[in-house]
Amino acid sequence: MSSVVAEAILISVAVAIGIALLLVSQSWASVTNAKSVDQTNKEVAQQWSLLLIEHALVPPGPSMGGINRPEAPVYVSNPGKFELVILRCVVYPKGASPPFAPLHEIARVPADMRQVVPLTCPVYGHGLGQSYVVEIFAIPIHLYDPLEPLTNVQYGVIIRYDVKPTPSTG
Amino acid sequence: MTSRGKSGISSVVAALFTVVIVFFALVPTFLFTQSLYAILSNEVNKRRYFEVDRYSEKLDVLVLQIDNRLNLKVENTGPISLVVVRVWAYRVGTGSTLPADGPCYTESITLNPGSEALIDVSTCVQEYTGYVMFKVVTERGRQFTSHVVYLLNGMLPSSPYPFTLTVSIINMQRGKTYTVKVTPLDGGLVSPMTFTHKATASNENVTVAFGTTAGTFNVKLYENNMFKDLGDQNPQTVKVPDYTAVIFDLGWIVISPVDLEVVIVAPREVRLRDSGSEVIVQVFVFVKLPREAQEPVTITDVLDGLLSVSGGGEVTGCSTVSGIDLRPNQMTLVATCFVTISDDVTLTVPAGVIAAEGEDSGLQYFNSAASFVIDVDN
Repeated sequence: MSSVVAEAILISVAVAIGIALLLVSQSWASVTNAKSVDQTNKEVAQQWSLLLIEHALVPPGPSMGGINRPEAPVYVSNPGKFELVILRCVVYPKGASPPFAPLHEIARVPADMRQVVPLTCPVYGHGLGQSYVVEIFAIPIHLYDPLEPLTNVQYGVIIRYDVKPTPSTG
Repeated sequence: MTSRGKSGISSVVAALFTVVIVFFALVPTFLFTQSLYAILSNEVNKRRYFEVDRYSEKLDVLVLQIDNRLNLKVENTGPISLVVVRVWAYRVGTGSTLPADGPCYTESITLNPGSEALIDVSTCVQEYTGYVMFKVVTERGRQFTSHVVYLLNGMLPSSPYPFTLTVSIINMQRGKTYTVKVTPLDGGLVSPMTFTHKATASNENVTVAFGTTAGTFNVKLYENNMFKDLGDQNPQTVKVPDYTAVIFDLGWIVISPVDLEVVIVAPREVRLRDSGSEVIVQVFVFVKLPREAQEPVTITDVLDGLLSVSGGGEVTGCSTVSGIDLRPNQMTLVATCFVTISDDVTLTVPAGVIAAEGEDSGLQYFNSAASFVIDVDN
């Protein structure tokens, strides 16, 4: 009789542990799958984050008879699959370190080249006749959190474009 | 026996749960992960195909004027269809756009392989005078530019050849005929298409200007109607107006003239019969082209009075010869003179009385001075 009870207890324990393990493994599988889906989506989004700088113009700096803190008009379009949010756009001398500029939403660029979006980017540093780099940081819109712009920045893309300054006309 | 049989049930239950966990949690997770990997891999491939398609796009952009309207002729010369989504016009030099606030044309145009379309860009460049360039953007994000064109009040100037391509042929070989042929490679225009020149002197240089439109041109040099092998230098392909000069250096050596050497041959000593008498001696004047000369020469002129006498004697007559060819280190007789001698004399041939012309270069050669002493023994 006691052996029957003992066996019943053993079976109950085995069933309990089994159910617990099953639930834990199911939960783990669900979480893992959800994370994998999320990761895959982000990587696919990054794959198709394409930005084209169609035109950029650096106005003359003070050394070339221009203004002190010029801003460069930059026109961008998006040949990718996802709408992009521009979080940073800076223009700095070629060969120099990129200047610090906080990430914040500047513009949104719809996908499929439907629209060319004009941006106005600050120009940092000036030199006579030197080349400049236009650097833009963008992130797919579904990865962008307006409250926390730094979220998912690792899935953003950086686009650089070389441009010569405009000779002063004045 | 019964007890042992019952005690195995819990193990069986545990094993069953293990199997259930494996089949209902681990295996689906593994399969799901695999399917996600397949999806990602598929997207990577699609992205790669997109890049291949993107770089397969080829578009020729040509600026034309049709009925007082400035047009871009865009022709899809690639293997896949493409869609033109925008056209930009730029002022060359400043880089600013025409119009100043954005693209020039924003309608979509689908172009199948081999097809072409005209895009009216007159309104963008209305009344504009200066150099301008057009850029066409495609749906896949490629950008194709036209040649730089000069516009006068928004129109192409009336001259069909707004650019000049200069072709220089340097260090030509004397006597050879050189022909330059300029062939448009992409529908450009050029005038004249050929130029021929015969070199009248060695190392001669010539530069000729061809009127062209913007475009790519093949420039070939021929020597005596045979293609001249100059390695990478011939033929040359130039894209006007990015490049507007072509030089063919034939590498013919630079020739410098040398002095002709004069050798006077006469008796070293003459004996007079008695004091106050005279004797006539024959003097030969030879001219030699030095070994270091770089070309053969032709004696062109020998002055009759090339020989002068100082001391007791005078030249009674000279016969000269010219038109003789001389090779380096070769000597020839150019004058035979008779000198009447009554005392010691010094015969002199001054510099510059014998002239020759280089056969390759056409350069003038002259003699250096030479003298010879004849002693008289009484």
